[in-house]
Amino acid sequence: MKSNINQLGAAVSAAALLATGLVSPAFAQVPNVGLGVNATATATVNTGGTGGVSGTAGIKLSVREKARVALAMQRADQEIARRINALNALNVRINKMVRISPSDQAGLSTEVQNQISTLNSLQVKISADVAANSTSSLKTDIKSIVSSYRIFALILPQGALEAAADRILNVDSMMTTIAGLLQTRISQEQSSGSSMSTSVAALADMNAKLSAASTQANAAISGIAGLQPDNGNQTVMASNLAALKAARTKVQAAQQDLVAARKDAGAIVRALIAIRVSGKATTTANATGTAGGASSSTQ
Amino acid sequence: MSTSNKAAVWGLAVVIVLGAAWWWMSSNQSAVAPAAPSATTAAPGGTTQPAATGTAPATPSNGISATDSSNAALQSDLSNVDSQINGFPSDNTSVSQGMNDQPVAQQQTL
Repeated sequence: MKSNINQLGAAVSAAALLATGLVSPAFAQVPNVGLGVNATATATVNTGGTGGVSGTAGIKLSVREKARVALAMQRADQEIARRINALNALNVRINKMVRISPSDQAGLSTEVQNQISTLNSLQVKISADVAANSTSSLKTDIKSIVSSYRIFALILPQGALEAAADRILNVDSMMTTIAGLLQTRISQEQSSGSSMSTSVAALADMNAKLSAASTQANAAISGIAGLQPDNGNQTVMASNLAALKAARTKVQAAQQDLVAARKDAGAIVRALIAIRVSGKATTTANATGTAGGASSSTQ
Repeated sequence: MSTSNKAAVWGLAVVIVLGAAWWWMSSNQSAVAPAAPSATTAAPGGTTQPAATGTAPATPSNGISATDSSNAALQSDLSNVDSQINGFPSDNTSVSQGMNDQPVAQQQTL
Protein backbone atom coordinates (compact mmCIF):
# COMPACT_ATOMS: atom_id res chain seq x y z
CA MET A 1 0.00 0.00 0.00
CA LYS A 2 2.88 2.22 0.82
CA SER A 3 4.35 1.61 -2.62
CA ASN A 4 0.97 2.43 -4.16
CA ILE A 5 0.88 5.70 -2.27
CA ASN A 6 4.40 6.46 -3.39
CA GLN A 7 3.53 5.71 -7.01
CA LEU A 8 0.41 7.83 -6.75
CA GLY A 9 2.41 10.65 -5.25
CA ALA A 10 5.00 10.45 -8.02
CA ALA A 11 2.31 10.52 -10.66
CA VAL A 12 0.63 13.53 -9.08
CA SER A 13 3.95 15.32 -8.81
CA ALA A 14 4.80 14.58 -12.41
CA ALA A 15 1.45 15.85 -13.54
CA ALA A 16 1.89 19.01 -11.53
CA LEU A 17 5.33 19.62 -12.98
CA LEU A 18 4.03 19.06 -16.47
CA ALA A 19 1.27 21.54 -15.92
CA THR A 20 3.69 24.24 -14.80
CA GLY A 21 5.92 23.69 -17.83
CA LEU A 22 8.97 23.06 -15.77
CA VAL A 23 9.59 19.69 -17.37
CA SER A 24 12.48 20.08 -19.78
CA PRO A 25 11.08 21.45 -23.04
CA ALA A 26 12.92 21.57 -26.32
CA PHE A 27 13.41 25.29 -25.91
CA ALA A 28 14.51 26.96 -22.76
CA GLN A 29 12.26 29.69 -21.49
CA VAL A 30 13.93 32.84 -22.78
CA PRO A 31 13.70 36.19 -21.12
CA ASN A 32 11.02 38.40 -22.50
CA VAL A 33 12.81 40.86 -24.80
CA GLY A 34 9.89 43.20 -24.96
CA LEU A 35 8.21 41.18 -27.61
CA GLY A 36 6.49 38.68 -25.39
CA VAL A 37 7.75 35.96 -27.66
CA ASN A 38 8.42 32.68 -25.81
CA ALA A 39 8.95 29.25 -27.21
CA THR A 40 7.91 26.00 -25.69
CA ALA A 41 7.51 22.63 -27.20
CA THR A 42 5.49 19.61 -26.45
CA ALA A 43 7.42 17.55 -24.02
CA THR A 44 7.02 13.91 -23.39
CA VAL A 45 7.35 12.80 -19.85
CA ASN A 46 7.16 9.21 -18.95
CA THR A 47 6.88 8.36 -15.31
CA GLY A 48 9.35 5.75 -14.31
CA GLY A 49 11.21 6.11 -17.51
CA THR A 50 13.29 8.56 -19.33
CA GLY A 51 11.64 11.56 -20.82
CA GLY A 52 12.54 12.25 -24.38
CA VAL A 53 12.35 15.62 -26.02
CA SER A 54 13.44 16.61 -29.44
CA GLY A 55 15.78 19.47 -30.29
CA THR A 56 15.00 22.77 -31.93
CA ALA A 57 15.22 21.53 -35.47
CA GLY A 58 12.36 19.53 -36.82
CA ILE A 59 10.30 19.96 -33.73
CA LYS A 60 6.62 19.43 -33.99
CA LEU A 61 4.47 22.31 -32.90
CA SER A 62 1.07 21.99 -31.42
CA VAL A 63 -1.89 23.43 -33.26
CA ARG A 64 -2.01 26.27 -30.80
CA GLU A 65 1.66 27.05 -31.25
CA LYS A 66 1.34 26.90 -35.00
CA ALA A 67 -1.44 29.44 -34.80
CA ARG A 68 0.74 31.71 -32.70
CA VAL A 69 3.63 31.37 -35.09
CA ALA A 70 1.33 32.23 -37.98
CA LEU A 71 0.09 35.31 -36.16
CA ALA A 72 3.62 36.37 -35.35
CA MET A 73 4.58 36.02 -38.98
CA GLN A 74 1.51 37.97 -40.06
CA ARG A 75 2.38 40.85 -37.76
CA ALA A 76 5.98 40.79 -38.87
CA ASP A 77 4.89 40.90 -42.50
CA GLN A 78 2.54 43.79 -41.75
CA GLU A 79 5.26 45.83 -40.11
CA ILE A 80 7.82 45.07 -42.80
CA ALA A 81 5.42 45.88 -45.62
CA ARG A 82 4.36 49.08 -43.92
CA ARG A 83 7.92 50.26 -43.58
CA ILE A 84 8.90 49.28 -47.11
CA ASN A 85 5.94 51.20 -48.54
CA ALA A 86 6.84 54.29 -46.52
CA LEU A 87 10.51 54.05 -47.49
CA ASN A 88 9.64 53.63 -51.17
CA ALA A 89 7.47 56.75 -51.04
CA LEU A 90 10.27 58.62 -49.33
CA ASN A 91 12.78 57.47 -51.94
CA VAL A 92 10.56 58.76 -54.73
CA ARG A 93 10.40 62.12 -52.98
CA ILE A 94 14.17 62.21 -52.42
CA ASN A 95 14.80 61.63 -56.12
CA LYS A 96 12.67 64.66 -56.93
CA MET A 97 14.65 66.99 -54.71
CA VAL A 98 16.39 69.69 -56.67
CA ARG A 99 18.26 71.85 -54.18
CA ILE A 100 20.17 69.09 -52.50
CA SER A 101 23.63 68.29 -53.79
CA PRO A 102 23.83 65.17 -56.00
CA SER A 103 26.12 63.46 -53.52
CA ASP A 104 23.82 64.15 -50.58
CA GLN A 105 20.85 63.03 -52.63
CA ALA A 106 22.59 59.81 -53.56
CA GLY A 107 23.58 59.24 -49.96
CA LEU A 108 20.02 59.67 -48.73
CA SER A 109 18.65 57.41 -51.44
CA THR A 110 21.28 54.77 -50.71
CA GLU A 111 20.43 54.82 -47.03
CA VAL A 112 16.76 54.32 -47.78
CA GLN A 113 17.50 51.55 -50.29
CA ASN A 114 19.66 49.76 -47.74
CA GLN A 115 16.81 49.83 -45.26
CA ILE A 116 14.45 48.42 -47.87
CA SER A 117 16.89 45.65 -48.80
CA THR A 118 17.38 44.72 -45.17
CA LEU A 119 13.65 44.50 -44.62
CA ASN A 120 13.13 42.40 -47.73
CA SER A 121 15.83 39.98 -46.63
CA LEU A 122 14.32 39.81 -43.18
CA GLN A 123 10.92 39.00 -44.60
CA VAL A 124 12.37 36.10 -46.56
CA LYS A 125 14.20 34.85 -43.49
CA ILE A 126 11.09 34.98 -41.36
CA SER A 127 9.19 32.96 -43.93
CA ALA A 128 11.97 30.39 -43.88
CA ASP A 129 11.90 30.30 -40.07
CA VAL A 130 8.21 29.57 -40.09
CA ALA A 131 8.52 26.93 -42.77
CA ALA A 132 11.21 25.18 -40.74
CA ASN A 133 9.30 25.59 -37.47
CA SER A 134 12.41 27.31 -36.16
CA THR A 135 10.83 29.38 -33.48
CA SER A 136 14.12 30.43 -31.89
CA SER A 137 15.30 31.98 -35.16
CA LEU A 138 11.88 33.50 -35.60
CA LYS A 139 12.16 35.15 -32.22
CA THR A 140 15.55 36.56 -33.10
CA ASP A 141 14.31 37.92 -36.41
CA ILE A 142 11.22 39.46 -34.89
CA LYS A 143 13.46 41.05 -32.28
CA SER A 144 15.45 42.64 -35.08
CA ILE A 145 12.26 44.21 -36.44
CA VAL A 146 11.82 46.00 -33.16
CA SER A 147 15.45 47.06 -32.84
CA SER A 148 15.64 48.32 -36.43
CA TYR A 149 12.50 50.37 -35.96
CA ARG A 150 14.45 53.08 -34.19
CA ILE A 151 16.40 53.68 -37.39
CA PHE A 152 13.22 53.82 -39.44
CA ALA A 153 11.56 56.11 -36.90
CA LEU A 154 14.30 58.66 -37.57
CA ILE A 155 14.80 58.25 -41.31
CA LEU A 156 11.16 58.77 -42.16
CA PRO A 157 10.55 62.18 -40.56
CA GLN A 158 14.11 63.29 -41.27
CA GLY A 159 13.73 62.54 -44.97
CA ALA A 160 10.30 64.15 -45.12
CA LEU A 161 11.62 67.33 -43.51
CA GLU A 162 14.56 67.51 -45.88
CA ALA A 163 12.26 67.04 -48.84
CA ALA A 164 9.94 69.78 -47.56
CA ALA A 165 12.88 72.13 -47.04
CA ASP A 166 14.14 71.32 -50.52
CA ARG A 167 10.83 72.37 -52.04
CA ILE A 168 10.89 75.57 -50.00
CA LEU A 169 14.36 76.46 -51.25
CA ASN A 170 13.29 75.71 -54.81
CA VAL A 171 10.26 77.98 -54.55
CA ASP A 172 12.43 80.61 -52.89
CA SER A 173 14.83 80.50 -55.80
CA MET A 174 12.01 80.79 -58.32
CA MET A 175 10.49 83.75 -56.56
CA THR A 176 13.84 85.47 -56.13
CA THR A 177 14.19 85.40 -59.90
CA ILE A 178 10.66 86.73 -60.26
CA ALA A 179 11.43 89.50 -57.78
CA GLY A 180 14.28 90.59 -60.03
CA LEU A 181 11.96 90.72 -63.01
CA LEU A 182 9.40 92.68 -61.04
CA GLN A 183 12.07 95.15 -60.01
CA THR A 184 12.92 95.64 -63.69
CA ARG A 185 9.30 96.28 -64.58
CA ILE A 186 8.76 98.63 -61.68
CA SER A 187 11.81 100.63 -62.69
CA GLN A 188 10.55 100.81 -66.26
CA GLU A 189 7.15 102.04 -65.18
CA GLN A 190 8.68 104.58 -62.85
CA SER A 191 10.78 105.84 -65.75
CA SER A 192 7.57 106.21 -67.71
CA GLY A 193 6.14 108.41 -65.02
CA SER A 194 4.00 105.93 -63.16
CA SER A 195 3.89 106.07 -59.42
CA MET A 196 4.77 102.61 -58.20
CA SER A 197 4.98 103.28 -54.48
CA THR A 198 2.59 100.48 -53.54
CA SER A 199 4.41 98.01 -55.74
CA VAL A 200 7.76 99.14 -54.37
CA ALA A 201 6.55 98.47 -50.85
CA ALA A 202 5.15 95.09 -51.87
CA LEU A 203 8.41 94.16 -53.52
CA ALA A 204 10.36 95.08 -50.41
CA ASP A 205 8.09 92.90 -48.32
CA MET A 206 8.41 90.10 -50.85
CA ASN A 207 12.19 90.19 -50.69
CA ALA A 208 12.11 90.19 -46.90
CA LYS A 209 9.81 87.16 -46.86
CA LEU A 210 12.01 85.31 -49.34
CA SER A 211 15.09 85.94 -47.24
CA ALA A 212 13.33 84.75 -44.09
CA ALA A 213 12.04 81.62 -45.81
CA SER A 214 15.50 80.70 -47.03
CA THR A 215 16.97 81.20 -43.59
CA GLN A 216 14.29 79.06 -41.93
CA ALA A 217 14.61 76.24 -44.45
CA ASN A 218 18.38 76.07 -44.17
CA ALA A 219 18.12 76.16 -40.38
CA ALA A 220 15.64 73.27 -40.49
CA ILE A 221 18.02 71.19 -42.59
CA SER A 222 21.05 71.89 -40.44
CA GLY A 223 19.05 71.16 -37.28
CA ILE A 224 18.34 67.56 -38.29
CA ALA A 225 21.31 66.70 -40.47
CA GLY A 226 23.38 65.26 -37.64
CA LEU A 227 20.70 63.26 -35.85
CA GLN A 228 21.50 59.62 -35.11
CA PRO A 229 19.14 56.74 -34.31
CA ASP A 230 18.43 56.51 -30.59
CA ASN A 231 18.71 52.70 -30.42
CA GLY A 232 16.27 52.75 -27.56
CA ASN A 233 18.08 55.45 -25.58
CA GLN A 234 15.30 57.59 -24.13
CA THR A 235 17.49 60.68 -23.79
CA VAL A 236 18.58 60.54 -27.41
CA MET A 237 15.01 59.79 -28.44
CA ALA A 238 13.72 62.90 -26.67
CA SER A 239 16.50 65.02 -28.15
CA ASN A 240 15.79 63.74 -31.66
CA LEU A 241 12.09 64.39 -31.28
CA ALA A 242 12.72 67.94 -30.09
CA ALA A 243 15.02 68.60 -33.04
CA LEU A 244 12.49 67.21 -35.50
CA LYS A 245 9.69 69.29 -34.03
CA ALA A 246 11.83 72.41 -34.18
CA ALA A 247 12.65 71.71 -37.81
CA ARG A 248 8.97 71.18 -38.60
CA THR A 249 8.16 74.56 -37.04
CA LYS A 250 10.83 76.22 -39.17
CA VAL A 251 9.54 74.54 -42.31
CA GLN A 252 6.00 75.68 -41.63
CA ALA A 253 7.18 79.24 -40.95
CA ALA A 254 9.13 79.24 -44.21
CA GLN A 255 6.09 78.02 -46.10
CA GLN A 256 4.00 80.84 -44.67
CA ASP A 257 6.66 83.35 -45.68
CA LEU A 258 6.59 82.05 -49.24
CA VAL A 259 2.81 82.22 -49.39
CA ALA A 260 3.01 85.85 -48.25
CA ALA A 261 5.71 86.57 -50.81
CA ARG A 262 3.53 85.01 -53.50
CA LYS A 263 0.69 87.35 -52.55
CA ASP A 264 3.02 90.33 -52.85
CA ALA A 265 4.14 89.17 -56.28
CA GLY A 266 0.55 88.70 -57.38
CA ALA A 267 -0.36 92.20 -56.26
CA ILE A 268 2.57 93.69 -58.15
CA VAL A 269 1.76 91.81 -61.35
CA ARG A 270 -1.87 92.92 -61.16
CA ALA A 271 -0.72 96.49 -60.77
CA LEU A 272 1.58 96.17 -63.77
CA ILE A 273 -1.22 94.71 -65.86
CA ALA A 274 -3.52 97.52 -64.80
CA ILE A 275 -0.95 100.08 -65.90
CA ARG A 276 -0.64 98.44 -69.26
CA VAL A 277 -4.40 98.25 -69.71
CA SER A 278 -4.98 101.88 -68.73
CA GLY A 279 -2.13 102.92 -70.96
CA LYS A 280 -3.78 101.21 -73.94
CA ALA A 281 -7.13 102.82 -73.15
CA THR A 282 -5.52 106.25 -73.07
CA THR A 283 -3.68 105.58 -76.31
CA THR A 284 -6.91 104.47 -77.95
CA ALA A 285 -8.72 107.58 -76.74
CA ASN A 286 -5.99 109.78 -78.16
CA ALA A 287 -6.11 107.97 -81.48
CA THR A 288 -9.83 108.76 -81.81
CA GLY A 289 -9.20 112.49 -81.41
CA THR A 290 -9.69 113.07 -77.71
CA ALA A 291 -7.67 116.06 -76.56
CA GLY A 292 -4.83 115.64 -74.14
CA GLY A 293 -1.76 113.52 -74.08
CA ALA A 294 -1.20 110.17 -72.55
CA SER A 295 -1.95 110.33 -68.91
CA SER A 296 0.27 108.90 -66.34
CA SER A 297 -1.43 106.13 -64.57
CA THR A 298 -1.19 106.14 -60.84
CA GLN A 299 -1.79 103.41 -58.37
CA MET B 1 38.15 70.78 -117.61
CA SER B 2 35.07 70.37 -119.78
CA THR B 3 32.15 72.75 -119.60
CA SER B 4 29.89 70.20 -117.97
CA ASN B 5 32.45 69.43 -115.32
CA LYS B 6 32.89 73.09 -114.58
CA ALA B 7 29.17 73.48 -114.21
CA ALA B 8 29.00 70.55 -111.84
CA VAL B 9 31.77 71.93 -109.71
CA TRP B 10 30.18 75.34 -109.58
CA GLY B 11 26.84 73.79 -108.75
CA LEU B 12 28.35 71.79 -105.94
CA ALA B 13 30.09 74.84 -104.60
CA VAL B 14 26.82 76.79 -104.61
CA VAL B 15 25.08 73.99 -102.71
CA ILE B 16 27.83 73.91 -100.13
CA VAL B 17 27.78 77.66 -99.68
CA LEU B 18 24.01 77.78 -99.40
CA GLY B 19 24.03 74.93 -96.91
CA ALA B 20 26.63 76.66 -94.75
CA ALA B 21 24.70 79.88 -94.88
CA TRP B 22 21.51 78.15 -93.83
CA TRP B 23 23.27 76.49 -90.92
CA TRP B 24 24.79 79.75 -89.79
CA MET B 25 21.51 81.62 -90.03
CA SER B 26 19.54 78.96 -88.15
CA SER B 27 22.12 78.95 -85.38
CA ASN B 28 21.97 82.73 -85.01
CA GLN B 29 18.18 82.82 -85.11
CA SER B 30 17.97 80.30 -82.30
CA ALA B 31 20.46 82.29 -80.25
CA VAL B 32 18.58 85.59 -80.45
CA ALA B 33 15.04 84.29 -80.24
CA PRO B 34 13.20 85.59 -77.14
CA ALA B 35 12.66 82.96 -74.49
CA ALA B 36 9.21 81.49 -74.75
CA PRO B 37 7.38 80.92 -71.48
CA SER B 38 8.56 77.61 -70.20
CA ALA B 39 5.98 74.90 -70.49
CA THR B 40 6.20 72.88 -67.38
CA THR B 41 4.62 69.71 -66.20
CA ALA B 42 4.21 69.33 -62.50
CA ALA B 43 4.60 65.83 -61.17
CA PRO B 44 2.15 65.13 -58.36
CA GLY B 45 3.76 66.44 -55.25
CA GLY B 46 7.03 66.84 -57.11
CA THR B 47 9.07 69.57 -58.71
CA THR B 48 8.24 71.11 -62.05
CA GLN B 49 10.33 70.15 -65.00
CA PRO B 50 10.78 72.77 -67.73
CA ALA B 51 10.12 71.85 -71.34
CA ALA B 52 13.11 71.86 -73.64
CA THR B 53 13.83 75.36 -74.90
CA GLY B 54 16.50 74.44 -77.38
CA THR B 55 19.14 77.15 -77.60
CA ALA B 56 16.94 79.90 -76.23
CA PRO B 57 18.38 82.10 -73.47
CA ALA B 58 19.13 79.97 -70.48
CA THR B 59 16.08 79.12 -68.43
CA PRO B 60 16.99 77.98 -64.95
CA SER B 61 16.01 74.46 -64.06
CA ASN B 62 13.33 75.92 -61.79
CA GLY B 63 11.31 76.93 -64.86
CA ILE B 64 11.57 80.70 -64.41
CA SER B 65 12.96 82.80 -67.21
CA ALA B 66 15.58 85.21 -65.94
CA THR B 67 15.02 87.70 -68.76
CA ASP B 68 11.36 87.78 -69.79
CA SER B 69 9.55 90.32 -67.63
CA SER B 70 6.45 90.59 -69.77
CA ASN B 71 3.08 90.33 -68.06
CA ALA B 72 2.40 86.99 -69.72
CA ALA B 73 5.75 85.58 -68.66
CA LEU B 74 5.29 86.82 -65.10
CA GLN B 75 1.87 85.22 -64.89
CA SER B 76 3.26 81.98 -66.22
CA ASP B 77 6.09 82.13 -63.70
CA LEU B 78 3.65 82.65 -60.85
CA SER B 79 1.63 79.67 -62.07
CA ASN B 80 4.79 77.57 -61.83
CA VAL B 81 5.28 78.87 -58.31
CA ASP B 82 1.71 77.96 -57.44
CA SER B 83 2.30 74.40 -58.61
CA GLN B 84 5.12 74.11 -56.12
CA ILE B 85 3.29 75.85 -53.28
CA ASN B 86 0.40 73.43 -53.78
CA GLY B 87 2.80 70.70 -52.71
CA PHE B 88 3.28 72.19 -49.24
CA PRO B 89 0.27 70.40 -47.67
CA SER B 90 1.43 66.98 -48.86
CA ASP B 91 4.93 67.72 -47.56
CA ASN B 92 3.48 68.63 -44.17
CA THR B 93 1.38 65.48 -44.14
CA SER B 94 4.45 63.36 -44.84
CA VAL B 95 6.35 65.06 -42.03
CA SER B 96 3.53 64.56 -39.54
CA GLN B 97 3.06 60.93 -40.55
CA GLY B 98 6.74 60.31 -40.10
CA MET B 99 6.84 61.90 -36.67
CA ASN B 100 3.64 60.20 -35.47
CA ASP B 101 4.49 56.80 -36.87
CA GLN B 102 3.54 53.83 -34.74
CA PRO B 103 4.86 50.33 -35.39
CA VAL B 104 2.74 47.21 -35.66
CA ALA B 105 3.16 45.51 -32.29
CA GLN B 106 5.27 42.39 -32.51
CA GLN B 107 4.24 41.02 -29.16
CA GLN B 108 3.31 37.45 -29.55
CA THR B 109 3.62 34.42 -27.40
CA LEU B 110 4.79 31.40 -29.27
